[in-house]
Amino acid sequence: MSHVYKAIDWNRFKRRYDLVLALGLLAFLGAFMALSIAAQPPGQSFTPMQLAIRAFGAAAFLLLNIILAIGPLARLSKRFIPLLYNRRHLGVVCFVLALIHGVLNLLWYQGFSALNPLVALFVSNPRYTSIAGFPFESLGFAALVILAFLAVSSHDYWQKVLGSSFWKVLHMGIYFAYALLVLHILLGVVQEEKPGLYFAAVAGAFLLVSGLHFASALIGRVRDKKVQSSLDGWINLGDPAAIPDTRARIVHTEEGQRIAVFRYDGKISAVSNVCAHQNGPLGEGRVTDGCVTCPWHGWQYRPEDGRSPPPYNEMIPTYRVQIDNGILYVHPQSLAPGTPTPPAVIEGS
Amino acid sequence: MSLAFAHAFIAALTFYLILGAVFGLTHVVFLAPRLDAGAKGSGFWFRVMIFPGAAVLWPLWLFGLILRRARQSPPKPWRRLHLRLWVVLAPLIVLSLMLSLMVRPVIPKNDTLPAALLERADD
Repeated sequence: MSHVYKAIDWNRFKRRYDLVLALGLLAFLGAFMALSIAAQPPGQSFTPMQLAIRAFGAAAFLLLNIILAIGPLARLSKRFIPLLYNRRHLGVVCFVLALIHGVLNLLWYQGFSALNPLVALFVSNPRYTSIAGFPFESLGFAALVILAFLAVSSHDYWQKVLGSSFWKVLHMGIYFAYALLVLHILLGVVQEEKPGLYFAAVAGAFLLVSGLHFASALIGRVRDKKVQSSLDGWINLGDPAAIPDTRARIVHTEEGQRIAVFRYDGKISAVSNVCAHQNGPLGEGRVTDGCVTCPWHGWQYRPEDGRSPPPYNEMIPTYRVQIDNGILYVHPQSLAPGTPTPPAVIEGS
Repeated sequence: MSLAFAHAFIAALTFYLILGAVFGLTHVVFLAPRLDAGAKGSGFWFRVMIFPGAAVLWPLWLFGLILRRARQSPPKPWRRLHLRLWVVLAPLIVLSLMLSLMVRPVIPKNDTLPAALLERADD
């Protein structure tokens, strides 16, 4: 959420996040190289270049698994939400690690070719019609291209220029990059070694990440029981006091919309559950300083009109609410983003 | 992949990136403040930061500009699409791996090699 863009909007949390990331990566690279050397049979050894290639590739893949696991983990437990905050830095670092892996590979395996190394990459193994002998390097190259598109478009500016929906679809490309990388690694392992520890580790990571995604989708479906509208169209939400103060109840309408109904200062307001920034779940956030605050990146909106406080100008749709005979109702028809809507006042609060 | 095709592919990629560098420079110097008010008065390092995007994504923002596509669309929930993608990709990956393991070439052990080859290896 930035009035005038900065290259990176640093704050204390982001610095700490990146410091932990850097230290974690250094530790992983060191441990990977040490264990790889120790695990070599007598008489065999990796060259430093081969070690570096494998270590950077493994670090990039590990980071990609972490990136993909953070989303479902945050939906399964709120404890993981802070990890989402700076996920884009993880993505950019993942691309840089993959790029180093790719460049070192080109230099080591294709750099001495009479051909352009990039051309040599695609023609040195021509078995494109074989599954077992498939040139897995080309899959890695395709994944690297996708990761490059995601990394260079990660700044908020590109989300605004390309449009929020298109940007989101573009960033779904991470799943294709992941699929390509799983195949890149495993087909490489299948061709070069007995499917042992590497195969088990990569297949296990894939099963874990896909399992987390399916689990969070299933649990989300159970949590998101659709509410029925009454005859006049309003949805009965029962006792407004049942909503914890400064928190929200998320309502999933028959039309497939999610509404975040907030209770704050003895009042009730309803806004879209989808943050205008990166579609974060606003209903899982809270009202702080009089504004609904997204749990993912801290973007804020006034509950009465869905507008960000000045000087910001982001807006989200609002919904009408009313309290009748102590029962809270919300109308499922969304109003245009930024439309002022009078909050319902809870009597006796 | 044939050698000619690989050469053509890399040449096309190079051409794309050279064009991207030209478009990208134009974007960060002239277009950025017009496309987004937040870019007005932004610093030099912000321009440096968005240059790779401007150079790589040039067909996307250029077509958006030509078609005057609405850049501010209402936010949507994407959870269903996430799930559908996983439902398609996960079995595909598992299937590919199982196939690759099944048709994995078996490297013959030394004792199964023809005697002539073993003798040549000993030499």
